[in-house]
Amino acid sequence: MKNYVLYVLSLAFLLMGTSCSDDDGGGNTPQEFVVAFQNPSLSFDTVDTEKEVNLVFSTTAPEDGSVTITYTTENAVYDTDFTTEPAGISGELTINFTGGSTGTSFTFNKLQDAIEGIAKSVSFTISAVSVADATIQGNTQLAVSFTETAAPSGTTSPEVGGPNQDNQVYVDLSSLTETTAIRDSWDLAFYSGDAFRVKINGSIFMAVAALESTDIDAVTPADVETLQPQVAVGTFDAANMAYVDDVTGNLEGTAIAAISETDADNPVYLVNLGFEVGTEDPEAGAVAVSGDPRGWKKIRILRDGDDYVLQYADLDATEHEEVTISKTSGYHFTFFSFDTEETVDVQPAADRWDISFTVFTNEIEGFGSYGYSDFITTNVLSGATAYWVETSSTAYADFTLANVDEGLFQNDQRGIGSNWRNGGGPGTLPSLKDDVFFVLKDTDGNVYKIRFTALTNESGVRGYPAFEFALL
Amino acid sequence: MNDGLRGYEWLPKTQYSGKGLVNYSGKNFRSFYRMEYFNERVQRYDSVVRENYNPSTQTSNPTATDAEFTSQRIFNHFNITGKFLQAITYDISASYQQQKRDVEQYNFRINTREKFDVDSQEYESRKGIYSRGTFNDFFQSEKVGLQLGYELSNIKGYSSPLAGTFSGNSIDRRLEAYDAFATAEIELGQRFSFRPGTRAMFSSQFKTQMAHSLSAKYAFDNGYQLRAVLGTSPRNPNFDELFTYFVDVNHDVRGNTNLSPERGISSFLHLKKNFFPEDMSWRLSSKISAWYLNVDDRIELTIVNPSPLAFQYNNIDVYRNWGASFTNKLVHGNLQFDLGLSFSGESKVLNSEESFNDDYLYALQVSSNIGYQIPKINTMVSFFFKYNGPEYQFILDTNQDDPSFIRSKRDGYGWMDGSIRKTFMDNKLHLTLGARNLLDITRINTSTVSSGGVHSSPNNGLLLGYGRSFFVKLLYNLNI
Repeated sequence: MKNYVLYVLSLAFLLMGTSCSDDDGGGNTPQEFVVAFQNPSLSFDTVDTEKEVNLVFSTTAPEDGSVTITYTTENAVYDTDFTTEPAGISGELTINFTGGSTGTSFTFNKLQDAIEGIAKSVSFTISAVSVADATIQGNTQLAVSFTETAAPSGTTSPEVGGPNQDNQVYVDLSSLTETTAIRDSWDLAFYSGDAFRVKINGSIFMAVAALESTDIDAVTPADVETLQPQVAVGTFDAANMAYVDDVTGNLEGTAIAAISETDADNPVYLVNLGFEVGTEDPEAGAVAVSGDPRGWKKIRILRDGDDYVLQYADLDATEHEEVTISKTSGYHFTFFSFDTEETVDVQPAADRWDISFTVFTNEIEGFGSYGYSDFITTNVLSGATAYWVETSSTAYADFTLANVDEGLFQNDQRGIGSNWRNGGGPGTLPSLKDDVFFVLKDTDGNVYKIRFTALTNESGVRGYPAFEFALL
Repeated sequence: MNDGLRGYEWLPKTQYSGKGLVNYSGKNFRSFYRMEYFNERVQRYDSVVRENYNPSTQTSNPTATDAEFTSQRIFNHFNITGKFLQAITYDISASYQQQKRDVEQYNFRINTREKFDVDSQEYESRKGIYSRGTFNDFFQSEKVGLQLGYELSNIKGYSSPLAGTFSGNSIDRRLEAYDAFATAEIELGQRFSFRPGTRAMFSSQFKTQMAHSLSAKYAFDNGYQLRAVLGTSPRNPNFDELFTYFVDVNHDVRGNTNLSPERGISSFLHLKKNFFPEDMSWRLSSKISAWYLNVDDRIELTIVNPSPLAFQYNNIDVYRNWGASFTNKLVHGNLQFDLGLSFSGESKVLNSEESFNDDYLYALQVSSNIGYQIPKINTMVSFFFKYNGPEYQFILDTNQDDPSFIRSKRDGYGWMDGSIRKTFMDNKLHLTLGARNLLDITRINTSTVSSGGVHSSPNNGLLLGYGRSFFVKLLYNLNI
């Protein structure tokens, strides 16, 4: 009998590819600590009395510290015309910050308006930062004007609200103000101008279809059963564009026809209320804009003098509610919500916003309506229009008023649209398009160049856009 | 910033593997235990960089979302063969295999080389036992033989929600399969023998299925041997086909829990002969085979998305395949030469298509291998060449209102490897120098054949390899 044990041990090490341990070349570049004003200018209108002045850091503060700011004045006296908080003493104020913060601020209080025809301003300059090796660059100065002036440049991060994109954000560049409205806070927008037009809320993917009937109480769920699947966004049917508002923003193309003085000409509409704002937390870089479906309504809209009369009911109801909605002077629309059954505030005054960040019902030609996140519309009803420029033709920094081509401004609210980002696909998430910028003519006729600097936050989470702009 | 330079198309990876084997022989039995270990790290650096430019401070703080996958596999295999009751021979194998892939996802600040938002978790894992046993020689007869056997597997799999869209839930499944089989061999005279067999298949997932086979062998006077095999083969989908969720950046292969078992009939005809001169200075073994298969509800990995490439297992209504192959092996002194030709045609009918074209699609494969041993210097030189003719596959076309499968052609390609192996110290030390993919194949064109004028879209083709590569292998046999 022979017993033997054989061990065969082999060990193979295989290193594949030309893999180095990382992929970013070079060495460690320490992030320098830079302190700057968020914006180089600030202006007050006659109503404003105090404004926050933001200072931003290039990276989180490495330690507790302070920024020293000096100021000079033109026709303005501290304590008489203005004060600051923290208080300024002999042309200087000190603002503290804590380690780990990404910025700090101080308050500017306007005590007396400027006298017509006399310039009145305060100019702030960052003079020192307590942190060792800190750098002062970028917006090192801030000009505060006591009268309303168009901002020469600025930067802002509209509060779209992250991956659920909860908000519609209306931005006015010249005054650097933002107004936000929760996307599903309204359903119908009644035009306040001469025409009698009603828009639906495309930011939550609403859709409407005219029915044969003019008797709202006679319409039953059975009547609309076959129509319902088609009255929606994103059905990949070219014909479904009839159920949504004209994507260019042209009022003549609303899904609901012009409201006629003759009641018999105003049919009942089937209304798909779209979706609630999403609440899911998607994978970083993706969006979850749509939550639960909001259901259906039937509506009919009539005229009463200069007012609208809205009749509405659930599909299976045999009676309806009725509400009179008046036009709101100075604003594009009066907004109405089925949830609160009241009119609600959404947009700023007609000429107090230039662009709006919103989820949007757009069209893919040949495939019908299609929902877009991260969309930007211009205030086309007040004449704000835009077009895009590729950096390969002119760099952002080199672009001046002489480069503006008036012929390129189109009468379309989608002048910026989704052109500022790359669309995603299977396996790729949308990303910022860094080789384009935009030219925008605002509601006052000012021409700006706009460059987007973020689609996501630092962690790649969607819904945190940022842009800079400069007056040409 | 996004210059396309960051990130790799073919991901860098580091692999370590180790193997161990222990043999033990006693009277009337032999056994071995084999262990294998494999470890792999794959880094994915995202090609998209977020510049995070801050216009106020005129600084950038670029970040990217990266991930690192770590895989480990341990395989234990125990086998015992022998005789009991003086007659019955047995051969029993049992194995336990464990594999696990972890993922670390993080965001990376490129300037400061700083990881943040680090999230580590188990990505997926599989554990399973498998055993197969056969028992022979129940009769002390030369004319009649009987084999009884069993095969069982019990596999538990886990897949994290990260590994796919399980609507936020992880998948934790167990699949058990137990088979019992019996085969008899009956000789009728010197020339003719036949072998009937049957198998019963029990599983935790499907109803019990039966399989039967019959093969016959006839030996001609002049050394030719003819063999015919006929079988029915129901086959349950295995764990891979049901639950696989192998999705990382290089791969997207998905199981399908809606699969049903395959039902197939197969027939084979083989004719073979060995040629050699009287002095045995050379030997040529040739074999011609022909086959026909017909499978209902065949399970196949189909491409459901061409770029990035995504596969899913699907039942294809009917699958027919016929073909013929001709293989030769020539040994002459220190030279060995293999040549194989294979020609097959297949026809598939797809579940989901309203109207289908079940024409046979033909494919040709040629493979050859040449090796020469130079005895004086203990060196073996070998080359391998294979040609895969154009192949056709189905692609899910999602550019239409109703996504549907369409046919796509993959161009033919050749593949060549070569190596030189030298042994030292009484064959204890082996040194191999080699090159893979000598023809430098990276992408193969795939195109949609417009049947009935559907759309054809340009794409970048299938990524098959990362190009020519070279390797050095050192192997030392340890006899203790």
